[in-house]
Amino acid sequence: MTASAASLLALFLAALLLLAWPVGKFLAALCNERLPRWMQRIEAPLYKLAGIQPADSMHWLSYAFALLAFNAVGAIFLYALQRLQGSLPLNPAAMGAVSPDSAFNSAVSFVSNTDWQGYGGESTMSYLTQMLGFTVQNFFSAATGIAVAFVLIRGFARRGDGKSKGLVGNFWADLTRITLWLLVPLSFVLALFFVGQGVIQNFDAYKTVQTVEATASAQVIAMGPVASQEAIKMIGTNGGGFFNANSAHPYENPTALSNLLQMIAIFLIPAALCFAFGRVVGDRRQGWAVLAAMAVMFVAAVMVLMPAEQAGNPLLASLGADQGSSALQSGGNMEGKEVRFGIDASALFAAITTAASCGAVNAMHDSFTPLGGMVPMVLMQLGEVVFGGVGSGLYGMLIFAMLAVFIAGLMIGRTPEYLGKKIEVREMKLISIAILVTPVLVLAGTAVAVMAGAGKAGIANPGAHGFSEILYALSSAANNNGSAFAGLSANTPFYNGLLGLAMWLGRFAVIVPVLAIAGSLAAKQRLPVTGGTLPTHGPLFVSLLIGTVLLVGLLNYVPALALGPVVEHLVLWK
Amino acid sequence: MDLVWMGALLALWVVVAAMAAGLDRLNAPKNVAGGERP
Repeated sequence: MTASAASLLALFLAALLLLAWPVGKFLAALCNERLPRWMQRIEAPLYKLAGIQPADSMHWLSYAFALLAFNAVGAIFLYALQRLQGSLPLNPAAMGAVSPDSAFNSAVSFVSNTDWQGYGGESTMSYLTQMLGFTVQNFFSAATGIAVAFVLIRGFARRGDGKSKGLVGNFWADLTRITLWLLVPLSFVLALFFVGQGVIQNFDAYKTVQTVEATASAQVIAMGPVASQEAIKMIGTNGGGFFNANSAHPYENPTALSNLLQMIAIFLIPAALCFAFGRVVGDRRQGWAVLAAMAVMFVAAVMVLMPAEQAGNPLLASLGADQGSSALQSGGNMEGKEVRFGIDASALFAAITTAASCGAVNAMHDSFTPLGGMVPMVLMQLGEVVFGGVGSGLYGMLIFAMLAVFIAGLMIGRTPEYLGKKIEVREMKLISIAILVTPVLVLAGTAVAVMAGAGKAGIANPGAHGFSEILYALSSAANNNGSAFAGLSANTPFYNGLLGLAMWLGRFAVIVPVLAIAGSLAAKQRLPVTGGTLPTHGPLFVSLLIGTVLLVGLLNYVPALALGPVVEHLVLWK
Repeated sequence: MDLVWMGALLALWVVVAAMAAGLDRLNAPKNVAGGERP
């Protein structure tokens, strides 16, 4: 790693910790349903209007049905909006109806917090669809993820007795509070900052300009309300760009400073939720332990990714191309990267966006070196638990923490317990389902795609790289990341259907068992800590947790990785 | 075609709703309040 790369990483982590701490404190108050009176006064009319009693805590099954119903309505609304956009206002570029299969894919994509985009935003979607459809779902899908994390935290924190036994909170109140008091204010501030940096925010028609080359054809420059979508795209780890080039587009990510803020925004809530977790369960060390496990895996990934990209392409080196870093150039493998960001900010962004389930990109991952491209893929395949998505990262990691204490319990011959709650047969069955859903979707989906003619037809590059394109797409969809390796022509009925299925089940078939675990935990009494309790806040448990995440990930994906990026790396460096 | 893709959305919803209902019956949680520690 170069000194500039290490400095950027250190600056990023320091700024993240500094900002995540106060946000974590507020998230804990939200999770504990202890809001200042003035906030409650503002909320009250909303609940009255909707006929909701926010103090009515739900059984996990009622919570799950409310969550599923809300998201299903969101998906249907989003589908209809795309199909009808040609007849609706705020459409200065006169975009027609989105095709049915693409509308299905995008509806599932944005509702599931994936934001996989088979379409090009500026050439397909009206401003109304971008704002009322995608941006609104960016808020709600993020709020849904955080709400599920809250429920699991409450499952650990609640004493399991009295009237609240087995109850996990009110979905409608959680959704309202998270959106109103967390996501909207953060997004508003961030959007203003982005506008200050040069991100556009307007309703103008696309502009036609004569380029400086004075060629015969003029260039059309897309406009739109970008900053307002950009902020929640990052804060909510959504990742769906207004433009096709996403955060590589100068109107989405104009400066080095906006790039740094975008990276911090992606990790802000996932990191803050770790602090909130520690506070709510009454032992802040527990939150630090989870955060430490995430941070160690993240830093390790960055330390592989950055040098891999800085090393450059040996084929170009053999042709005499200068790939060394100097005052005049970043050096390294600059294919598919913005010169204004260089290797460091591109590679770090790639690690952050795939460690979190964001999926925004400021460089094309398809053009990374094989090793450099494998790191983002592995970060997704670990289950999006290395910080992960807003809410989903924490609840994913807590699922692995319970698996870790189960494995430790087997080793020392004790009934496993985590934070005073016994992990028994029911919980272990649910944990197994939650962990295995995504690998099944990724591996079975990849197998179907490489066997089907329609699947192979989308590959841009033959051989190992083509396999990587498909494996990356399924990994991204099923883990709700949404970034694309590029190269794969995925806007076809086959891929829109297959990836839509992977996104929906990768999101909700994981959320359902997580909610069931939370309900089960909330019904159990907290046991006191004794001399025989496995400490879950020290380096030993952090190591065990990291080992569990890596073991599950590697067992699932090493054979598939060997067919794609590993082969490509060996061929390139032979 | 709209009916096909809207039907697909509905089918996906039914799958996870059925999953939720099924998981609720999976080893109904026991009250471990008086459970002994090993």
